[in-house]
Amino acid sequence: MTEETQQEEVLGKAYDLRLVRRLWYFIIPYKRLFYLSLLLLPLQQAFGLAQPYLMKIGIDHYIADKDLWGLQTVMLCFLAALIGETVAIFAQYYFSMLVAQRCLADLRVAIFSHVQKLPMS
Amino acid sequence: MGRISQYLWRYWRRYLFGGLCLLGTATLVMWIPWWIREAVRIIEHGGSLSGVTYYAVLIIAAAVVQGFVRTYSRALIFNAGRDVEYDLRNDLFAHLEKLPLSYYHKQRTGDLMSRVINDISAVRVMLGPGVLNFINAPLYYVYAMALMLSMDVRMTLAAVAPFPLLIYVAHQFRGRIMKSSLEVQQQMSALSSHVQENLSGMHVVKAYAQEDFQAQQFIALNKDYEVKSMEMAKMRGIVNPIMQGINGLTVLIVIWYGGIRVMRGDLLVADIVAFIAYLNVLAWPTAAFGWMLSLVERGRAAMRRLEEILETNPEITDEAASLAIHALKEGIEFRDVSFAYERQKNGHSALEGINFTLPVGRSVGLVGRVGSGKSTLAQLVPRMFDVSTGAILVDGQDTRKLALRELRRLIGYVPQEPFLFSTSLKANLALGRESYSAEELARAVEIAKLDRDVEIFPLGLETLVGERGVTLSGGQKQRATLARALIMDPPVLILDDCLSSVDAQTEAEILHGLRAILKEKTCLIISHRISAVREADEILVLDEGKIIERGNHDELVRDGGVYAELYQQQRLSEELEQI
Repeated sequence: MTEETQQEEVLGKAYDLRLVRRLWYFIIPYKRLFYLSLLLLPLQQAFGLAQPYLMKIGIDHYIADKDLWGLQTVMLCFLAALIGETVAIFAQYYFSMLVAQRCLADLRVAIFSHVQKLPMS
Repeated sequence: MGRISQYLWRYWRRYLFGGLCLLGTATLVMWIPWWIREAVRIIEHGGSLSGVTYYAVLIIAAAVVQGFVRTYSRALIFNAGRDVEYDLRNDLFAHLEKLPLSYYHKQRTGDLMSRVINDISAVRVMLGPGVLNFINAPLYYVYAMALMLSMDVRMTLAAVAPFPLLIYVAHQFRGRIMKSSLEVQQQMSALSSHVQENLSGMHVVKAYAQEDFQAQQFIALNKDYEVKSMEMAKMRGIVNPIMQGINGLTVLIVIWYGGIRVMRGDLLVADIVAFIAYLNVLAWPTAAFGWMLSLVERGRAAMRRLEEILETNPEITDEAASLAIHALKEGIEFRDVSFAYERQKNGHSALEGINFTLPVGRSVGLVGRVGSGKSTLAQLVPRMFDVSTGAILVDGQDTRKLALRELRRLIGYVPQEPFLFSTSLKANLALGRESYSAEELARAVEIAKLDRDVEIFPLGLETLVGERGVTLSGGQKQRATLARALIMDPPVLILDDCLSSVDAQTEAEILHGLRAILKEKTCLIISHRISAVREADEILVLDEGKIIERGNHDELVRDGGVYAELYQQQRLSEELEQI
């Protein structure tokens, strides 16, 4: 790798970081919502991953042992996980869209105001 | 949606092959749960490892092959969507070029830009991923249902029991998503228009210190867009997890009901595994159902907005049997011409009872106050607008019966408000001609007195002008558009006050240079300066759309009317300037 391309890469990285920092500046006013949408991601995954696990317990332990009560309990847990996942997906999508739309709206205003301040030249 | 099917039809082969690939993919995908069932059966009955390995190899092979076929199906269908987008954009642009000036008076440029860019993309998404899912989802459902039914009818009916709920949700949200999409797209257009107008009129915004006011207006429009986008996000946010949840519910039913049946001994665990595998195969088409719905609704809303443009009648078009015209032999005649703009109400007209003849090789001058109808009259000749009553005759033929392109090729129209494209000065000057000699170019530049400016420009005639190049002054732009008409070398020249931003001295020099050319051509010269029209064979004085005086310069001065008054005023101010 030549020195030039290395330099370019370093510059690229610095630029990316600057870009992220600049974007972060727009997220700051909504950071609570942003963190909330981030927190909802593992929750959504947990509800999603619980379902095949509960399926395994249902088949291996209760269907194999012909335990109807046990199967029904596990299936109620499955239903709870399903409802939890549905709500989490909606909330995660809604909050992340809210942050995205508000950031974009602020970004548009910032660009518009900046363009207006630029000289005619 | 008639128009969209015309575009789809053009690429029917690719859509058909894409559809066949999807059928192939679905077939392979549907065999996998079946083989899983067979493998689990072997395990349940304590069968051989070789039997399980056999199905494992089959499953891997099917997965690999379907991967390739799936990729190819997407390449075919997505590319067809791209091709339709390409055609649609070309057709839309060509149609926009044909629409009359009156259409652009009514439409906002930003709105049109938004339609040409955003709406066409939405249509492309509908015709690519939208069509793909539209074929895929029913295919998967029919296939999976048939295989599940062949395994166990009661189990299948129990598993698909929540599906009517899915159809109900889809039906409920369809109209709402469509309405919401339309609102978001309209708001985007309003936002684009505001930005476009501000950028175009930036000098006015700055001169009147309107930055804050304009920013406030932008913030209000932006807020509206955000609210409308969130309304749509809310609906999409509800539909997608509900679709996914319904799919989960079907799995729950299979394990619960299937488990009870296994306990009773009339079903195998292998069947439950196969049912779950089939429902998992259906998970994506089910979840994507909501997404597909919003893609299709968004695409339809966008197409409706595009159709509004495509269905607008060009109004000024060639008649079926338009007459060819290659040269001007007799001249131009205005016969009882009246004209009113669409926006004019209460019977007011921009022009009324205009009668005059412009014989070939002669010139007519037009003078009058601002708003007297001079430019409107000039624009009627190349049919920028059509007359309301009366007729304009070229060599005795009504212009509406002549081939539009040929009529316009006869006329070199130099507008009062010059427009240059963002390209080199040379390309701008040669707009009306495909081939021309260097001498012709040099002569036009010299007559328009553009030669001194070209010498100063960094790259001479190759200098870029317009948005990304050198900014020309109003006078320079006017002289460039005059040179453009001179290079075109048409038999008819219409100069619409095209030297209004040029100083009196340069104007005199240009008029001097033009004198010889004007003698060869048929000219309509509009000016607020008497000096530009005084040598015309006939001068018409317009007031409130009517001809109030006519004659040559000497006659009009002698008559002592409006023209004579104007002449005296201008002579006086010239004398004062000299002092």
